[in-house]
Amino acid sequence: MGVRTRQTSARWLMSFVFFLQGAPAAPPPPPNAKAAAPIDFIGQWVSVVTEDWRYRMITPPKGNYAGVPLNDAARKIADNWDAAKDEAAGAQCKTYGAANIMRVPGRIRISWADDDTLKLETDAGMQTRLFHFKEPRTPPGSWQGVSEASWEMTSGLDFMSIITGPGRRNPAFSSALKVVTTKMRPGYLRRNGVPYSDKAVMTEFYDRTNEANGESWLVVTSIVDDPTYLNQPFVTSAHFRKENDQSRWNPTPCSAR
Amino acid sequence: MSRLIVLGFVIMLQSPSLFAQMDLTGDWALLIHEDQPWRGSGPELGEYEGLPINAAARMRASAWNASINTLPEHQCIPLPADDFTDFGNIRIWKEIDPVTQRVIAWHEYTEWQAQERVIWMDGRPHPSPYAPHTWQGFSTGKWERNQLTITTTHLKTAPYERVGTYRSDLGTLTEHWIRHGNYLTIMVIISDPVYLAEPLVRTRQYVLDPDQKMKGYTCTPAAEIANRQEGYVPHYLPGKNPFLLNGNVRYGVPPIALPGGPETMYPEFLAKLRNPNTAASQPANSTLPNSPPPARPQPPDFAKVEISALPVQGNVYMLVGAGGNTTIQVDEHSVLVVDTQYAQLGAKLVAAIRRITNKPIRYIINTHFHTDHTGGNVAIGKAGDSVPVQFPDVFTSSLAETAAIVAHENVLRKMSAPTGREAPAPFDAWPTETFATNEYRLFNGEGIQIVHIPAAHTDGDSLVFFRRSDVIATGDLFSTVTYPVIDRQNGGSLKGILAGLNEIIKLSIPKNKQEGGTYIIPGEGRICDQADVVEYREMVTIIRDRIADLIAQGKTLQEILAAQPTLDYDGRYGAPTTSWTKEMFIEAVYTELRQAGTK
Repeated sequence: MGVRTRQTSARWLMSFVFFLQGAPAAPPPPPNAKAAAPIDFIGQWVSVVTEDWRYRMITPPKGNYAGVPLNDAARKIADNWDAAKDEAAGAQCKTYGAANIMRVPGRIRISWADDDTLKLETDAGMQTRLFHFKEPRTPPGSWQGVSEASWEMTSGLDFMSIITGPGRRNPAFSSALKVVTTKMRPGYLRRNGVPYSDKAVMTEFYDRTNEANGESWLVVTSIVDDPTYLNQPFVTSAHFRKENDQSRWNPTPCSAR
Repeated sequence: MSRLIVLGFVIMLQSPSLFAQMDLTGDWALLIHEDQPWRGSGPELGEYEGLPINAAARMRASAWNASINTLPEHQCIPLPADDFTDFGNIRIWKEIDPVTQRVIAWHEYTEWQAQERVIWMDGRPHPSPYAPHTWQGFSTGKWERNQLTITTTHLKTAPYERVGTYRSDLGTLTEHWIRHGNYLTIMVIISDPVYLAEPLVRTRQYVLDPDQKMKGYTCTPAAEIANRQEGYVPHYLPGKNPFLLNGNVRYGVPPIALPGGPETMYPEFLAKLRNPNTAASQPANSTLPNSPPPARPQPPDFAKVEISALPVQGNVYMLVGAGGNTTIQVDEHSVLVVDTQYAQLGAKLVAAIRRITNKPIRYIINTHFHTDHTGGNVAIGKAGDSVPVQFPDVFTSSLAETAAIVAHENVLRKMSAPTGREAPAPFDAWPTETFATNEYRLFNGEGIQIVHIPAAHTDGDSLVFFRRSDVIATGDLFSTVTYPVIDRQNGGSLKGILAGLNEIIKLSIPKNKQEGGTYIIPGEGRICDQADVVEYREMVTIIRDRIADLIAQGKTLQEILAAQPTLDYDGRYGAPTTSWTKEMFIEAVYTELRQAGTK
């Protein structure tokens, strides 16, 4: 028996003993969301507008809602959009509500408001979103609604643990932030009056990439489900590049035009 | 049996990475909720806002004419890998090693134009830079948390928007495929040193749709417009594209934004949109300032040159060293060599051939006389052995013990000299078999056509077409590294170069969707197919037309150089070589067109 064969046999034997003994006890869960964070979103990010430019960087003409799965009721509202009326009603921030704010060109800052609440601030429209990992304390009916957050920790079942004891999952390999937002004040999916209602529910997934050139991107996939105005979920994604230079943060108030 | 069960458990315990992957398998329906006009009817001509293009890309796009797609060579070009997320549903499945159960590769099929990609997960390296490029490129992947990160190289030059915005074949892709439940987000990052000032980043979405029915797609090109002149390339001359403001006219996109560029992607640009008349808000549609030409590279250090061999197709290989490419064709009984690089590399070239085959070298074909293509004639000739001599009283025995050297007779004229004068090349390097006709034929296990192209790179150029292997060696009629080298002192001309390129296109037949089929070995650079030659032919034609137009406007050579008629291709072909620069190319074209008085 050669050295290599003996080594391999020893590894098998050790593994088999390990199998019979069961895996070591899992470590205790982290005390809070901040400690449990599998990925770091903290910092300043700039939106890079390579998509829907005509809808995001300029205000498109009334009635131009291509791509949004609107129903007839929504079209009627969009066809009667009047920016002056919104201004007169003090509703300049309709475009800056949670269901569209991530598509408004600008910068965002993400930080921990406390150990179980992430804060996302925007310079465009000067909005603040709070992502609650525990019971939300945000009052309903605001532009940003009420957001419940969780770490998405997907993994497959560990076949061995099914045999040896209670089913246990493999180490998690998915590590995204999931945010579900409800109770939003009605607003616009696009600047030209494409509506969403207070019954809209938005599910977002926040993913971060790390590129070979040192850059890092934040990808926010957003699924807006609105039984009042949408025929099917409205699914988009926005991307932001990480910025180390904080100097370009440029708070500007909401604008209806 | 029990040992097998234990073995199975142990393998599973030792291989946690087997499970540390998201499963992307399934049929996915594309959601077009964003960029709908761009992905549907397409952007307007001249509309590049939000694209981080540079001046070269802008110039190329401004020249783009949609009629180009009526050319048979363009009709079947599919969406490239950077653009598959724009149209069509997809299917993703994995290829699994039956023993280890590891994922060897992910496959992705796009219904639109029936393209399939393979993303290799087994750690294999990307191919040689001299390997062919394809529409889908060569992709490798790795898992980073929940993301399948894909790197794609070896892409053909292709548009990523239907307004003539191109990514060059030096460009690469990085993708992140991210699944969240029934939704799949694909982030595509296009990097291109030729046409992008910054990477172009886009994200697209799919929803799982297991009930979809995918359709096949075939494409057979045909002439859509009859009686066009051979080699006709639809395009707009600089300043003469009438559609560049369509985005403003139809959709109110401010003219300042239409030329695109990185700044149009960022929030700071909003201020310029609000105040378009500020001094700092000039549209970025001007050309680049003329900068001093880069220094020419040093001649190769032959001691350090290594010859690498790439199988091309059938019995044909390409050998890359320094100078021109060498082609070898290996028959059951003998070897044929096309072009022999520099004399200093002769021994290395022989050794490289011997690593592939020990069969006798019977023939050398010279595509023209330049020393970077004929220098190794002596070494390879002496390592060879021509067909046994039937009439020894006519041919010397020493000649029979070397490979025959075949070339157009003008090659012999350039390499030899009248009696009493010193010849440019040693006697043993001279062609032994010459022809003065337009075609010469050989048989070395397959039919070989040697097609003479008059007055092109020189006055003695030949293409070599291996008919069964379906490979064409072009000599310096075609290059993937420089603008055409027109040796006017030795009978070369742009007209001949274009005739040669069109001849290559006529001889070659793509296998499927304008890809593969006939492979083409250029004088310098990587292995190509017809689509690559078409791209090059169009570049040469467009530049010719621009210079002709400038001449017609009465411009001098200096004014034409200042006008940068090659700007959109300089990043790809403009780097100087030891003997050629873009300025020399422009001057050669200018001189020829001036002398001809017409294009």
